[in-house]
Amino acid sequence: MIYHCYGRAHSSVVAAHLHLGNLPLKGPVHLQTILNLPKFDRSKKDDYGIPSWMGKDEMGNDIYIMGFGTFSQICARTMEDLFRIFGRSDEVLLVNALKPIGISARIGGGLSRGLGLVGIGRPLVAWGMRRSMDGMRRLIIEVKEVLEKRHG
Amino acid sequence: MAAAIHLGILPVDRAPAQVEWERVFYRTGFAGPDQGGVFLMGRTRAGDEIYILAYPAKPDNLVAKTAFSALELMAVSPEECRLIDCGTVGRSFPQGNKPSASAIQAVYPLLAQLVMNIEGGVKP
Repeated sequence: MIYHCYGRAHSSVVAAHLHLGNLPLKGPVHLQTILNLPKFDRSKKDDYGIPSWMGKDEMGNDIYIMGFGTFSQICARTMEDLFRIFGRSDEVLLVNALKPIGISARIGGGLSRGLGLVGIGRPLVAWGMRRSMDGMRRLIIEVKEVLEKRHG
Repeated sequence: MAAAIHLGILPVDRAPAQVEWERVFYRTGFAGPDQGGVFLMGRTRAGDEIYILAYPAKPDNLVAKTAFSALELMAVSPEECRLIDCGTVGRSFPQGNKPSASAIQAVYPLLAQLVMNIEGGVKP
């Protein structure tokens, strides 16, 4: 199970923590809680295309995050095709964690990771993530439903 | 082109004639949703399946890194699957159905050598 986003620094990190239960699927989330999440706003450009393991969920699925830059569709296609060729399509689920994310989180992420303006970018991206939390939670609930069906 | 050489569709010892090149599947390249796709070109007599993967070179061979990551996640060994980067040679080759004869002449020996250098050589 792979959550992917631009640089595996923000939306995929939050999605993975929601999936793993480190962030609640209901109720308020404090800004500081997001800022303190392991791997939040930490990745580098060299990490693009390389999976980072986040944990194992309650169904036993390994949860990874990946950054595909601006090539999310192309990279996801490559991964899915390779898993299919090896007859292991049912072992992978790629989910674009950027979809529920609003403009403020994207700008904050770009400022922090892209331009190195961490002081401005990190709080802004965390604030944006909190604003997008409802959409992220809906995404995680949908993903868990898909995984539950797969597990029968 | 490298896959076609490997499969014996194109000759290894000389540049192909235009008519030979036009027999090669996928010779016009990929665009849009096909980019990043892994396509089967054929099977060698030894039973090896030969695939091609087309992707943009920038940034930093991201798609190639992603492909390696997929193989690593599946614990596929280098004996089971090898990724050969033809980009260093092939990127100077123009895309399209009818590359110029001079372009073929310039790049083809390098691509043929790349294929020959693959462990075990060419076994169509």
